[in-house]
Amino acid sequence: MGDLYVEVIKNEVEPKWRISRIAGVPTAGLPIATVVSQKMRIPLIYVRKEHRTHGLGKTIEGVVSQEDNVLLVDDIVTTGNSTIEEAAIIRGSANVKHVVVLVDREQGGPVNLQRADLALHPLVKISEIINYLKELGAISMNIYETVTKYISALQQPLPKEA
Amino acid sequence: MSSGTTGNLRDAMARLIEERAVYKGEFRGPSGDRTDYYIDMAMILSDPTGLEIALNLILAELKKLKVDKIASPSVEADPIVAVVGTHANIGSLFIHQGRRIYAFEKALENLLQGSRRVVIIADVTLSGNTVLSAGKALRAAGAQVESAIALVDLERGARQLLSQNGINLVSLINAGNIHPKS
Repeated sequence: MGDLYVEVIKNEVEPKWRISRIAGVPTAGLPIATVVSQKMRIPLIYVRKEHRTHGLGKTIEGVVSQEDNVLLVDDIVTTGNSTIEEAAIIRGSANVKHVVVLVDREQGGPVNLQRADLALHPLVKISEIINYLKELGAISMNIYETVTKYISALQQPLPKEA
Repeated sequence: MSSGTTGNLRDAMARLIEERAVYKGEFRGPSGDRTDYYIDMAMILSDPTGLEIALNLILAELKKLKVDKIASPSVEADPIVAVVGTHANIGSLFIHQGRRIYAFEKALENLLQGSRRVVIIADVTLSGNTVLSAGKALRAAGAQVESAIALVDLERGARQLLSQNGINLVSLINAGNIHPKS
């Protein structure tokens, strides 16, 4: 899976943007981001979810500075809200513009992210998974239609003010 | 005694820690215990070179053990566990206390199907409490936990506590190998 992330990053992000840090979104995004960081030999950073009272009490782990271009790596984007929050924290210390995820659940994520000046690069979209499963015959037409309806009903972006 | 290559890697890791990861002053560990210096392994594991050295050290230790799965006891150890799992082609478990406990236990039981021997891999051990709680969670889900590997053991009781609970701690670097620069 790490190789697939690297492929998308090399094809879609690196030609337009020099990446100097890979940021993993804990919990699920951190292991993936580490593997990507190691494969590409780009240093890793991550934001702590809970503020630590022990140790150094840092919010961002790793080394990062204002000149750094940070690529966000996560597993799934739903509405994009948690990704936007993550980017906002890192933007206090560096530049964030691109997000690579395994699955875009197509619930307004790309549009919401775009409003926050973030470009989403999913390895796969949920509609592609559903179409693939339908073609395989792994799911019934009934389930296919239910899920497809569910996805399209959720595709509108969220209102600007939550 | 460790073999030549592993010995060199251990030295390289100890020097890297001294250069980049040691902070002097009074700090509190995760269980509230006080230390007069602190080692921030994220400074090592976030760097591709540091990560590579840690990876090779752990892979060499892992070869000596019978293992079906490896587990991270905390967010700090997730990066090293992820790369070790990928390189050794062993499944990784990420145990974070206090998160979605029920779902987590069910998920853990499913993940453990047919593969019972789990080795916990930690970045730093102090009292050993974090590793022990991960060990207890794994055992509750049916795993056999007999070994843990720590990149650094700061010798604050982890070895004894874990040993009392049937977990043998292998540490690659001990407090005595690190000489904080003043």
